[in-house]
Amino acid sequence: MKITRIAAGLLLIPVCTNIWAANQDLTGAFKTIKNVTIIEDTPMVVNGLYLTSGDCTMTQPTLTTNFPGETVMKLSSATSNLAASSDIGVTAAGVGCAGDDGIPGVYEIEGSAGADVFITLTSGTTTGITFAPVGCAGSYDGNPDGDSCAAIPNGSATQITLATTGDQTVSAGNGVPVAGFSYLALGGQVTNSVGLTAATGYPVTFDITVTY
Amino acid sequence: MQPNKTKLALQIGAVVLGALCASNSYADPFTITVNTLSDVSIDTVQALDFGENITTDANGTCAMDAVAPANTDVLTDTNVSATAFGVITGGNCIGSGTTVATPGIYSIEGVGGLNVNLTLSALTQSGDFTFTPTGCGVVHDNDGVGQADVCTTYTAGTPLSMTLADSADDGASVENFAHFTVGGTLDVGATALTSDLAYTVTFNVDVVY
Repeated sequence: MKITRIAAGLLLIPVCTNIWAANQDLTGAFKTIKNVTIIEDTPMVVNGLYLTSGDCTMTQPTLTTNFPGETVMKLSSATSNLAASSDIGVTAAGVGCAGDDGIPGVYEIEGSAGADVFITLTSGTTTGITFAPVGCAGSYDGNPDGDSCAAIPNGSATQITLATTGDQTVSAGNGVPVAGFSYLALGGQVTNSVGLTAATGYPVTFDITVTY
Repeated sequence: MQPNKTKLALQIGAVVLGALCASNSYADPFTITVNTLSDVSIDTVQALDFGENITTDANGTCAMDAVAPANTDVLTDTNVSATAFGVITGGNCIGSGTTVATPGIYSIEGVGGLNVNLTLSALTQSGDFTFTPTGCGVVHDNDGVGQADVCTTYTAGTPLSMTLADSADDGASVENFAHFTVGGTLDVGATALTSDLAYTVTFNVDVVY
C-alpha cells in the first residue's frame, strides 16, 4: 500500500510539469479607409471664346487670386476670413477670348479624415477644344486655422491632407472645414484649334484623379 | 505434579519474542506533498491595431513590423530604443513605410527563471484575408550584472523558447514575467475589402513550460 502511494506521487510530478500551459485566441484590429470620392460642386465655365483658334486662360486659383472664398472652400487659412477674390472667374481678353468672366470650378473631395491624398489634373480634348486644368485644393493642418490652398499643377500628382475634426474649430467668420473633406478650385487654359459656332456651348471632358 | 520449568520458560520467551516481532513490523501510511508549478497566463498589455490605414484593394498586403521594440515596451534589462516598431509597409497600407500603427504587446506570467515555449499560429479570418503573426519574445538573462535580455524573433507556427524573468534580473525586468510582441502580415484575397469598415483579426497563442 505504502509503496503504491509513493510511486503514484512520484509519477505526478513529470506528468503535471509537461501539461502546464496557456492557450488563447487573441484578437487585433484594422479598419479600411473610406474610398475617396469626387463630386462636382460648381461646374467650370469659360466664356467668350473667339470662333477662330486661340487660347483663353482663367488664372490658377490661390488664396488671393481667382479664389472662391474660404466659405465655399471650407478652409480657414488665418485669423481673418478670406472672401472671394475680386478677379473671380476672370478670363482676360486676349488672342483666344474676349474677356467675359467665367466661373472657376469647385470640386468636393471626400476620404478618410486626416488622410493624405494625391490629386492629378489631366487635360482633355473634345471636338478640337483642349482644356488644361490647374487649381488649388484645401490642405489641412489638423488644428484651428492654418489651412492652405495647395497649388495643383497640370499633369503631376500633388499631395494634400484632408481635414480632421481638429480643423473644425476656426476663428469667427472663417470657412469651416469638414473632417474627411477637401475642396478643389480650378482655373486653366482652353485652347481652340478649330472653327467654332457662335453662341454655342462646347463641353470639354477632363480628368481629376484622387488617390491615397 | 511438579511443573515442567523448561516448557514454561519456552512459553514466556515465545510471548516476549512475539511482542518484539510485532513492534518491529509496525505499519502506517505516510504522505508526501506534491507542489505543482504555477500556471502560466497570458495578458494583453497593448492590443494589436493596424488602425484606419488599410486600403480595400484585392490581392495586396500590409505588414506591420514588431521585431524591434524598446526595452520599455517589453520590460527588459537592455537599454534599447525601438526600431521601426509598428511601421506598416505594403501596397494595402496608407503611408507605406512611414505610418506607425500599434503593435500588440502581451505578457506571460509564470515561474521566474523557467523557460516557456511560445507558439503563435494563424487562424481563419472572417473575410477574404489572412493574418500571419510575427514578432519577438523576450529571453531574460536573469543576471543582475549583465544586460543581455533579448527579444528574439519568432515565426508563425514555430515554437520560440523564452525565459521568464526571476528576482536576479535587473533593469525594467519584472520577476515572473516575459513579454512578446505581435505584428504580422495582412494578405487580402481576390475579393476587395469593404470601404470604411472595422475588421477583427484573430490569432492563436500557445505557451507551455
